[in-house]
Amino acid sequence: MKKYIVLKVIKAFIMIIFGAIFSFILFRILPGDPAKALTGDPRLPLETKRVVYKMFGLDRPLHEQLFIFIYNLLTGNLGISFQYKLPVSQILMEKLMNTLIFLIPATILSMLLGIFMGLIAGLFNGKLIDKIITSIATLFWSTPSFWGGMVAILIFAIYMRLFPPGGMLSFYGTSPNLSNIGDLLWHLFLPMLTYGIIYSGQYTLILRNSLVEVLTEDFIKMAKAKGHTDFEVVMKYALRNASLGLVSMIGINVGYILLGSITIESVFNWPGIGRLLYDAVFYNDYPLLQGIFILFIIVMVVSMLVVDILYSYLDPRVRIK
Amino acid sequence: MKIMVKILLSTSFVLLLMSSNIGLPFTTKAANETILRYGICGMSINFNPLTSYSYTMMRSILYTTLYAFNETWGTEPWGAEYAKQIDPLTVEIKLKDNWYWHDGKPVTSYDYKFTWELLLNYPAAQTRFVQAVESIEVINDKVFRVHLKYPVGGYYPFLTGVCVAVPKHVWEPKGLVDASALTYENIPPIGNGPFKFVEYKPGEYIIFEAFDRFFAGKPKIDKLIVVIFASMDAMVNALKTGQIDVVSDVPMTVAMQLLKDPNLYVSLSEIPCYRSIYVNQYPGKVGHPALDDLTVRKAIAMCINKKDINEAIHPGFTVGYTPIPPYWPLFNPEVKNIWPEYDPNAAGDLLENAGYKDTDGDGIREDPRTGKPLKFRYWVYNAYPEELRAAEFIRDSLRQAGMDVEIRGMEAVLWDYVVSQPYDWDLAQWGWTVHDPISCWFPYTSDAIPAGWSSSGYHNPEFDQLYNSLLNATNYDKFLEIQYKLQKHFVENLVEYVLYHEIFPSVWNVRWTGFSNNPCGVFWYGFNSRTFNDVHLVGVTEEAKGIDWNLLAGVIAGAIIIIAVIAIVLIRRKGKRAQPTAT
Repeated sequence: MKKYIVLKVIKAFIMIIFGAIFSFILFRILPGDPAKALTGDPRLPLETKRVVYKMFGLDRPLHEQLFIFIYNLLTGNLGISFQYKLPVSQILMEKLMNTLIFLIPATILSMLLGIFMGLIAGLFNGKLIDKIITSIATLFWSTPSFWGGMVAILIFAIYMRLFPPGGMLSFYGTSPNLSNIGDLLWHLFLPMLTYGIIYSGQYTLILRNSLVEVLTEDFIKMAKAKGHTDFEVVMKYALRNASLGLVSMIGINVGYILLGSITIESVFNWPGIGRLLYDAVFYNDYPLLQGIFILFIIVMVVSMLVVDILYSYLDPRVRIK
Repeated sequence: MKIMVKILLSTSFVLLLMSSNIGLPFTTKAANETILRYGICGMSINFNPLTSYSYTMMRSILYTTLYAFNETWGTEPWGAEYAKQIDPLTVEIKLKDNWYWHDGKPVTSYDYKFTWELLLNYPAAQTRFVQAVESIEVINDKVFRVHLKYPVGGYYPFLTGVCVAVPKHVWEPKGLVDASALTYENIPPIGNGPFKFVEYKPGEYIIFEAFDRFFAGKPKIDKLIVVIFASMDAMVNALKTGQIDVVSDVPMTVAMQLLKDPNLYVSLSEIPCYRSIYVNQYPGKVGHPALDDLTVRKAIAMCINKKDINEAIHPGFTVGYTPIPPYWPLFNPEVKNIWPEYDPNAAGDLLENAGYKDTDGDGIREDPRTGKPLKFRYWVYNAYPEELRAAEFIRDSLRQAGMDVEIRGMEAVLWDYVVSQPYDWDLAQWGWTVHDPISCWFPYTSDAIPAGWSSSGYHNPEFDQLYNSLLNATNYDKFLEIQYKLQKHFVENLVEYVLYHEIFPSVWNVRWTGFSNNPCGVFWYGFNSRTFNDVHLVGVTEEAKGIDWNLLAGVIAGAIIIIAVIAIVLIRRKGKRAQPTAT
């Protein structure tokens, strides 16, 4: 098991480095003028542009820039954001925290809802409740997140005035802490609900289908024959096997959710990574874009690594192979 | 089962915490402070006044200008005590004695000399306002003389322009005396305007507080919070629900909807921003060669129905002819009669008579010199999505006249890459701002091409000569005469097709009053130096009323718990039903 994990970690590290190099090349070949983004001046004279390029090392040959980039990356230096004029790593950390504040409960909610509905649908396979849940889950899964967000805002914020239409806290100049946790949760509700509901559809359908399949296996019949109740059979035997697909889907989704939060964070004005990416694209902020790109690569690779390890725990055949 | 109970208990606790906030108003008063929350969207935040385009911040919040525009487009001293002409090439400026930086130091002539010399030596966004300056001579702490390269007819862009000063005593010791000053983040900024900087959270908000030593008196609000939005919808929703108090630069279609809301006041004002179609005339260009022919340019002009496009897409916008808006005193009314009338059939006849015939019968005429069909690549800036509709209107008329266009929307990044420099297009539609009636003509001069300022590559020695005469006008009458000539040349030669001058909507909650107005409206970022000085609350108003939200939250929480309990019971029942019976 140890060897398996070490090999996986090495592979993950190599993937991150290659991904980072790819992101470096990608942002160099994209159109747009970084000097313009740096100074905020769309019609900067050529002489001033040259000075600015020199100051930020943009006048050096590409391979030199690449070596400097890799060295900086290994020392945790992701450069200075053109737009914010602050270290990229500092901005990323702050925004990542905001995204996690929204993402973790949203993911948990979607999992709970998905497992709950998938379980009911799987247990009542073919019955009316199964059909209702499957239809609802399909509807949720096919709902675009920005549209779902806009509908939620319209109903709960504009018409009912129950929740704020966006933002993270009512008072600007404060950070989330124990004294304003109620306020934070109040702001969190709508984006979390939107995300939770939309992603739950996918989990519901996956779990339901796996469960229906697993419940016909011989070991389930054996468990029933031993005298276990349906509830015990499902919880102790079926769910563990049926959750294999769900675990890998959740792992993959962690990365996608981070990407997908661009729309939801823009709709709800949630100051997280998604909104940061939106702004970085808008303002040609290459160091920041690169930093976000690398963060996404790390999150994706690490989540896949965790999924692989979890998978090998849930299904020992994987690590034996 | 225990896990389920834990989940339910946690959920209930979270809902309880949350419900304590439901129904609370988004307050504008906190700890006896009056706070105004101003929403902005799609605006780059940059605290460096040398390069910043955040003009609201530069002109009416953090910094301020020497002169301010009044309600009749006149100018009056603001940060300056006076500015007087010593001779056609010298202007003397005296700064107000009670004008201070936010760190308590007085604003001096040395600050202006330092800043303007930086702008002249290292050209940046605001250099355009000091373009005519040869040198700055300090007389004393509060008085300095500006020596000009040319007289500019007594019209001095540096007085009203946002070429604000930076504090020399802060910037110089940091070594910000060369190009490094252009990339300086300037956080925290030391300004000299009505509001001091307090905090900036990138992508979220900027907090300012009233500066009690501001020369025009301390603003009536205690704090001004600029709330940054990524989406226009999110910003408008926040305004509707009272999360923010005021917004500006919303699209006209949104402003029209907000007019119906009794809690909001919509202010519409004419601003000197124009949208136009550039015609590629770059020397040695890759654009369509037929566009060099004035007859073709005229035929295209005859296919642009500005009036109908305006009514359909931009209700309220003013039809434009030149960069100078028709409501400015400098506008030459003669150009209205020179502009070709809309008549696509007559445009077709004009082309037919000039030898542009449809030789292959595909409905598109060919250039007799090159054989190339009169089909143009027409790029439209995506930042104005409604302009794509305008382009479609024009395309239909062009087809009627035997021409055609390939319309393509272009993102900001690609726009710079494709349109601004390589000139790889035929027609391009976007907008620009007239900051003053001198620099607005520079992009059409030959000198603007190597300087990177030319939008269409227009080059005409006659126009260049007129522009130089404008710079050297020795009095206002001469200045006006040349202004008229430039506008006439612009329309006669169809340098570009100016479509319309924009209307700028600002919207605020009716609880607030006292926004300073001028012909450009309250907020428009380029021209108002006094926007927030007198803003105050009308009175205490109820901000949230109606349903007992706590009760409603309780109902929702109850519903969730009931659903969960029913589901658990269902599972348990199914489990019991399936239990094996002893036989």
